[in-house]
This record gives sequence, C-alpha cells and structure tokens, in this order.
Amino acid sequence: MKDGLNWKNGALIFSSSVLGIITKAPAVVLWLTMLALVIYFSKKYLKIGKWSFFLIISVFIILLILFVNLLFPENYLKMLLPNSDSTKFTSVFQSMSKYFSVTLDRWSWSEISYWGNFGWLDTRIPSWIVNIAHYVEIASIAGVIAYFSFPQKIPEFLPKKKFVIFLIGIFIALQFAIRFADWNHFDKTGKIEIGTYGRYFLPVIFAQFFLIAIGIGMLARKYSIWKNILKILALSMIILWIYATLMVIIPRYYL
Amino acid sequence: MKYIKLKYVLILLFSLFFAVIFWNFFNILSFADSGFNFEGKSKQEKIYPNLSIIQKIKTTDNNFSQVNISVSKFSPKLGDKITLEVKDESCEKVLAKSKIGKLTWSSPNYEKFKFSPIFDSRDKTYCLQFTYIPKQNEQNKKIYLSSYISEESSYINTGKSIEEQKNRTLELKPAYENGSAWKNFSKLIDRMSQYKPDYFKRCSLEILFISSFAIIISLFIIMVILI
Repeated sequence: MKDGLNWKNGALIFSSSVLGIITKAPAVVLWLTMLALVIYFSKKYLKIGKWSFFLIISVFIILLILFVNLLFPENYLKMLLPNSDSTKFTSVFQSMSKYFSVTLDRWSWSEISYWGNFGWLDTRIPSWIVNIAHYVEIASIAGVIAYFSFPQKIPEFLPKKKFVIFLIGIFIALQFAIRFADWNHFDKTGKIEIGTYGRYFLPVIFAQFFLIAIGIGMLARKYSIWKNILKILALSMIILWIYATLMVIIPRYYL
Repeated sequence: MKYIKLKYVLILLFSLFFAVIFWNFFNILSFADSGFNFEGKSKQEKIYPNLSIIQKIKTTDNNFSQVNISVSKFSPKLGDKITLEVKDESCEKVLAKSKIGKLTWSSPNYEKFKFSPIFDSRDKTYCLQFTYIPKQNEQNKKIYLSSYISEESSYINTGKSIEEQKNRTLELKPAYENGSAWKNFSKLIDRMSQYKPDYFKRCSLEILFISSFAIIISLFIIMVILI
C-alpha cells in the first residue's frame, strides 16, 4: 500500500493467497483481502465512471469465484456456503444463535490460548503473564480509538490512516473467517468438536502487533518513549517464547 | 544527575531472565524410563493427610534423579506439600528427599519429584515413600494417585491398611540424568531426533537448536543497541 501496486507486490499477494488456500479453508479470507486491495487500486488507477467501475469489479468478482471454485479440488467455496441438506438446524438464524450461546464463554479461552496458555498440554503459563498481555492490549485498543478520534493529534512517526484501516481489516477478516469455519462445522454437526484454539489466530499476529504498536504510539506521543516501550515489549515476548519452549513444550513432549 | 541508559537495563534484564530460564532448563533434564507402561483401567488411591503410600521400584540406569507420578485433586495452597523419601531396599535408610508445594507445583495432573542423583543406581531396588502434608487447618483434605494392574509390583497405603496391595503399581516412572549438563542436552536432542527425517537428526538438530537461540539473542541485543 505504501509503494503502490507493482509486479513484486502483486506476485507476493497472489502467491500467498494461493499457498494459503491450498493449506487451509479459512485462507479464503486472503482472497477477500486481495479483493479489497484490487478494488482499492482499481479505484485509484482506473479513471472511469462509477457505473463502469462497478461493472468491472462485479465481473472480476464472478471470475475470481469461478477461478477459486474450479482450481482447488477441495471446493472450498461450496463447503463454506450454507447447505439446507446438511444442516442440523431449521434456519440459519437458529443455527447462529445456538452457536453464539454455546461458544460465548469460549471466546476468552481462545484469547488465553492465543497468548500461550498451552491448555492442550495440561501445562499452563501462569495467568499473571497472560494478564500482562491483556493490559497491553487494552491500552493499545484505547490508543487506536484515540488515533481515529483525534486525527489532528496523531504523532508523525505513526502510519497513515489507510494502513491502520487495512491492518484492522486483516484482523477482523481472520476473526470472521475462523468463527465462520467453526460455525459452519457446528451447523453441520450440531456440536463444537475442536473449537477455536488460539493458535488458529496466529496468522494475524503481525497485524495485531502493528496495531498494538500504533495504539501505544498514540498514547506515548513522543518517539523516544514509544521506542523504549516497544523494546520492553519485545524483551517480554522473547523471554515468554524462551520460557514456553524450554520450560513448557520440551518437558511436556520429551522428558 | 546521570541516568543509567535503558538499553543497558534491558540487556541486563534479558541476561538475567535468560540465565534463570536456562539454569532451570538444565536442572529439569531428567529422562523418564520409557519401559514403564500402564495399561487397563486405573484406580484412584486416596492418600490421607500425614500418612504415606509406599512402593518399591527397580531402576534400570545410573543417576536416578527424579520420580514422575500422576497426582490428582492436588491444587496446593501455601503450606500444603507432598514429600517423597527415596529409601534403600529395606525401606530404612533415606537416600534422597524431594517435595512439591505451592511454589514448585507446575501441573494439574503430573508431578516431578526431583532430587540429587543417586549415581550408582543401575539394577537396584528403591523404596519410595510419598506423604501428603496439608496445612494445619486443612487436615481433612485428601489427594489421589492413580494405580494400575501390574504383576510384579505392590504398594502399601498406610492410610487404609498395612496390608500390601498386590499386583498393582502406582502410575509412576523413575527418571535419570546422563552424567553432565552437555550429556543431558545430547540425550534430549536424541529424543527430539526421533521421527525426524535423517537430515534433521542429532548434529543438525543440535546446530539448529543452539543457533536459533543465538540468533534470537543477537537480534535482541542488536535491536536494543542500534535502534
């Protein structure tokens, strides 16, 4: 988004979307993200009328759906669409409301396991460590809200709005994709079998860390303070990684 | 007034945390005997406060340094503890001691009692005595150990009777060190090498393991100093 659309960036976006969808169904979200970028750049570069633009984009979306649906043998798009033959519920509304009521108390569990509470190993990272991550997240959310609420006070070292919106878009898109895949399974079976483990959300960790850094930058105001806070957070994450690897995962599997 | 630069504080803190974690990591390197397997239906053996459960085991290697045992319903408060005394075959002389309490308790189901290695332990029989000691005002609390059918084993739960529970074993495994920190590390790499492709075994895995930590440390230090 910074350098504009060029061959290198385009190839990277396309190849990562292809690799993603070959790996896991929720990577459909990458195609949606790519679509959002295509619309953004088309609007920027194509000097055509509103209706022509709308027509071109509509045709492109249809072609993209056909391309994904035909090219990949698992037929992900078909799998993700609601199917009245396979559902266990009388309506989509009933299915979704039941899904939310069953999973509402699991959302915090997903979040805790995202930060390294290795529940599936029966080996837990102390809750105070996870709480520190929560406090940092809450502070950065406040910072991101301030970023949009007081645009005249955005420090110069923070990125422009379009980048922040894009990062939030990636974050929400992955949340949506994983919940959607989970609901889709629930709709067909009527039960939660695996659930949404925190590790499923790891692909969005870069976007999340950028957003945390932006939120904290907004609160810190001065570049030197912001830089030092980020250094402390980096130290904490590295120490957490070393601790988790050496004291949790290795003992659980090999000792 | 002159302030200490943050980068030096961060490097110092990083070195301190890193040293503590590595020290603990090398301390926990004891390797459970994979020859001990538990099959069939388990039974929960209740341990009464301040009374013991005693079982003899035969060790297969030198440097016997740890006993891993499955414990349930043990979520200790400050002052609660389970002690282990490792005694000789006649259950008289105490050779090593260990305890698990609030600060050393790490897992809801599986406990590791660590003690100083008994160097010459190959093919010897040891008497393990577990005692649950709750806080003074919580003397009616109990904990449970899993037990399984096993033809050559038996144990005594002194809280129930002094009769031997024959043909049963507690769900426990002896664990051994390997002589030195480096040998322990090599043994760990051996274990990690299992089920890995040939090019990713032993030496290459050792290099990857060490270099990944070295790279992380270097990157952190570079980041702190240069940025």
